[in-house]
Amino acid sequence: MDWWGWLLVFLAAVVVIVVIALAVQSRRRKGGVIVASTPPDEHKP
Amino acid sequence: MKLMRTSDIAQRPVVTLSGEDLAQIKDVVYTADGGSVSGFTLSGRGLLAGPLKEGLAWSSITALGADAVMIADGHALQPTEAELDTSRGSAGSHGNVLGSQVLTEDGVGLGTVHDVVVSVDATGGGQCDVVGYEIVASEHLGTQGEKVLIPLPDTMAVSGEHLMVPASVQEFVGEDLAGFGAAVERFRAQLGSTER
Repeated sequence: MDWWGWLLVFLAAVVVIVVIALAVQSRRRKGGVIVASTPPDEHKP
Repeated sequence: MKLMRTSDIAQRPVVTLSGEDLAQIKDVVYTADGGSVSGFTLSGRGLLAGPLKEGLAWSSITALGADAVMIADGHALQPTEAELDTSRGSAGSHGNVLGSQVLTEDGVGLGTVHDVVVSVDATGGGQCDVVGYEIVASEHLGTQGEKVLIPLPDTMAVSGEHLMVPASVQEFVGEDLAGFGAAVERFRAQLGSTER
């Protein structure tokens, strides 16, 4: 394979990794509405 | 008092009165017994920041503005309690109320929760009550697939896979937040009179 072929493969791999990282990160940051068994206030010193 | 969806609060930046941008809102946390918001979990600012170990209690908020949640200083952020994490397994899908099925006491499925409606005292100091759910309606409501609002009682138990509501909520279904506050009041008044 020519050098530019390897370059394309490398760039494609970088793009895939970045897309996966952003997807995972956005999933981690996505919020919800969760139920606490005890209000946090009760544990304040 | 102002009605808003919890999705409007999520991802708002948490800013101190000195202008420091500390975090952003991740999850809205509400008490299983009282039907009010007790606080928030947080995630860091920036593209690569993840969830923070600190949370924010509702009582520490000085103002909930349209664009930011204001706190006095960084001391308002407290370590998120262990039970907050363990409770994630106690309701709905992974502890998240969103996506849980709403059932009436007589076993009729009204739909699945798409959002939660809270009543907020925007100046801070007051309570943040959970007043309703926005649900994706089932065929029992006659508007299958549409998003509708249902009011909730003052106090309610939230645990398990399903969210239980009184059957009479079907008479007070709303379509948008305008006028929903009145529907909540009428529903709660009716509920109060039938309990007496």
